[in-house]
Amino acid sequence: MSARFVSLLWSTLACAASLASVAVFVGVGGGPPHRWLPALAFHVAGALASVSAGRARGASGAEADTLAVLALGLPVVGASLGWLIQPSTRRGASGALQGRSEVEVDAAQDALEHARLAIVPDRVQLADLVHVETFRSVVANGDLQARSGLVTKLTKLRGPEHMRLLRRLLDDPDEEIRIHAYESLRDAVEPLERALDEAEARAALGDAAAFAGVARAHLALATSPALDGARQHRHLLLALDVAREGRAAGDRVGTARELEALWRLSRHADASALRRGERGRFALDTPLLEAYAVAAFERREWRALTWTARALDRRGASRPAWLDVTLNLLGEQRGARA
Amino acid sequence: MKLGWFRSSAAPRPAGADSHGEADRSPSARAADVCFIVEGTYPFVMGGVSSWVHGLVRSHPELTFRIWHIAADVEAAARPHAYELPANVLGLHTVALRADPVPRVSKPAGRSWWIERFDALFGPVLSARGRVDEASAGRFARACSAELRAGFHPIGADDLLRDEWLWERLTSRYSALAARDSFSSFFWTWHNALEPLLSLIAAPVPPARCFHAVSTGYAGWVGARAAAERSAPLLLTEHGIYTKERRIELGRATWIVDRLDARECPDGNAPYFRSWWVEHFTGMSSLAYAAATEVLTIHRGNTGLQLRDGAEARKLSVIPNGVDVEGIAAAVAAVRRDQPDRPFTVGFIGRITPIKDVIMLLDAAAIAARSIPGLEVRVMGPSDEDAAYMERCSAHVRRLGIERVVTFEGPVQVAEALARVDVVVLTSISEAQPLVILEAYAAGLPVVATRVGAVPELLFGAPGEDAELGPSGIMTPIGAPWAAAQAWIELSRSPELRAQLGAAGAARVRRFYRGERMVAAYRALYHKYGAEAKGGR
Repeated sequence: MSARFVSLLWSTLACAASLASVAVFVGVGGGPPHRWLPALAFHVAGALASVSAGRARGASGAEADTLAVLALGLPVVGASLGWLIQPSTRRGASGALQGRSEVEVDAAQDALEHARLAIVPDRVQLADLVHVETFRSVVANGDLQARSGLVTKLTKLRGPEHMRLLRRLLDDPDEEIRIHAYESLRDAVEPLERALDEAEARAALGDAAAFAGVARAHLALATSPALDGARQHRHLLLALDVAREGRAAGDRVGTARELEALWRLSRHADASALRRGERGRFALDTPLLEAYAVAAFERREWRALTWTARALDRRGASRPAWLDVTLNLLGEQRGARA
Repeated sequence: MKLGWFRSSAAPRPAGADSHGEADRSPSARAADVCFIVEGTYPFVMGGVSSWVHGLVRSHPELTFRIWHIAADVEAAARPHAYELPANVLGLHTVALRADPVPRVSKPAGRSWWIERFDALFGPVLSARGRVDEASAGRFARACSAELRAGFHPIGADDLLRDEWLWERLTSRYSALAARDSFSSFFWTWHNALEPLLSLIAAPVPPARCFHAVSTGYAGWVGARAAAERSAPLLLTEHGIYTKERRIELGRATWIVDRLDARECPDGNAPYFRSWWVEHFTGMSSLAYAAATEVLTIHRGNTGLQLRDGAEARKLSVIPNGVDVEGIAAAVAAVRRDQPDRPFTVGFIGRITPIKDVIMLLDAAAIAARSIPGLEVRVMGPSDEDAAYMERCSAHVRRLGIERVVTFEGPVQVAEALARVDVVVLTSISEAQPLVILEAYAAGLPVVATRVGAVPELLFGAPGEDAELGPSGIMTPIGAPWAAAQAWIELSRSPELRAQLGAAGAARVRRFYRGERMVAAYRALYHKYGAEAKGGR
């Protein structure tokens, strides 16, 4: 094997690795914010390695230049290739769920609902989901005393799925249960409303940073499973308005809340534009990561979902139950494929 | 007849009770024809049951009344009156459930006598087994009718610790029933349950020929005691069902400590002490039903619950509330005449309190305002009962940006209020039989109301002749602002629908809910059991 051939082979391999990295990071999408940075670094390193390797092996100037041009031009090729493979990649990721039984897919979809409704994610344990099945049967078949006792229990547990069951009990045939369930839901919402009142009072004093507090309080209500969808939506819109006001006043925390509201409203294009415009000048806090996870799920961006889960772990925050369920399903699918 | 907080003469006045909880206008303490027994309402609190009692007293000037008021504590019993007592009220008697010092009841010298008496008086409710059987009710009545005070030593709830027999009774009960939960909690549950009962047993029964309890619970229990002690008839009228209300309250109560984690009993059984209190109150209700000569309520929906809690079917009857139909209609017509064209207006008439769910009303206003140009929502009623809630409502209006849509107008004359709206709305999460719906009907207005209490019956009619009149409003779920808003939008777009519903309501109230009809029904009862019994007692 001639030295020139080895040099060419080495350079080509380096370029291919570079291309692959760019393709994967840029094309598949769903990675962490600024995901192109490591890809670019990898690429530049690959290009330099190939050129220097070519030179070291005595490649002619023309050959080395060709390699350099080829290597440096690869981002365009990589990005294009990435864009081309994106739909199929997404189909493949969706297939991770499509390959599962309907029940499992439902569980994952259900889990997403839970994420939307999560009021106190750290209190949501998978073990609770087991009890929920029993609770559901009491809702459907229990007598008055059993249903009444159940309302008391659901009130104490206060997980998203418990709140959802309480909302179902608003349609109970017995007025006593309807009132009890409604009062319990109101009890759950009341501290959040009080927090909103207090945040608004602070904001009224003119403190720019207080806008973020108001937006945060609206978002807490918007994600409270004790509220109906219409009211949750209204609080999301109000959070967005207030956060924008905060950002206009120079509050970067407000930016994070604005982004969170946009993700929760599924306004992904607006969210992307904001992220680009703000260039990371906001903190990735736990609520923002949770909202990002929901957005990633909606867009079937499984890598982003995995990244978010790790980011939550790094922060020491609890993962929402639905996220664990989804990642388990995805992991199982990958395992099955392997 | 004048019923309702907005029309009664309700100037606050100093409490009438003296230091002993008695304000007797009759030096000879003569027996009244009727003694109302009320819990936490008349004459200290406005609206609801209070205005009902006030209206009945004023509607019977030929009869004399006494008011036996059960207050939560001494402070509650010392508040200013919300109603001026009519001249035919001979006396106001108050008893505080939690008194300081703790009330003491006489205890007999003979031990076996005392044991038997304690079990008869308190056993049915302290055993917390729900409905009380006939034999226990009989023992309770005999214990009440006996001489309770002569020659006894005093005891109080603290004697649960001091008295050997009481302690033995408590511990044996605990062993039998509640071994899984803490003895300390069990002790305090008994203590807290016994204390108000001792207060009620210690209080002297006002002299009257007939007792009329306006709820079960403590009022019904002490009514049963009074009826037995005075050998007098007991009428029992329930607006809301006490056990139902307590069950909801106890389910949410934070003062009850549940040892068991909710996950440990997912089958729906309530934790022990919550169940204990529910059964305790159910026992009190069933004792009252057993002692009552007549068990009444204001709408049919309640009778099923009364039967469930032990009321005998033969004692049950329904006397619906009523309003002055012609009076309201004439007053409204007079105001309506001078009104120029105005935008579509929704009226809320009631107290600004959480139970009326005014926040939900405001949410509905925000939704409807997007579809009804120039919508006006007038909130009419007192806001001083819960100032914090009123503040929350005001903040909510600002937050929703509906300052131009919603106005808080305070208390108003009912005819004035009804004349200036197109629809009357009720957003309550709990009601018995809301008078405001009947008043709206008298004014020929349609109603949008939540599915609570008698609302289904008022809007769609009881089966038969009533239902044939057709619907007179639109019913929405509790806590569903979009549903209320949708109903308003529908009505705003269809004057024909408003007229149709309004006409059905007007026909319904004229036929079934006349105030004079209700007064006549009670007059007949009072004359049967109170006034006409004068000669015989």
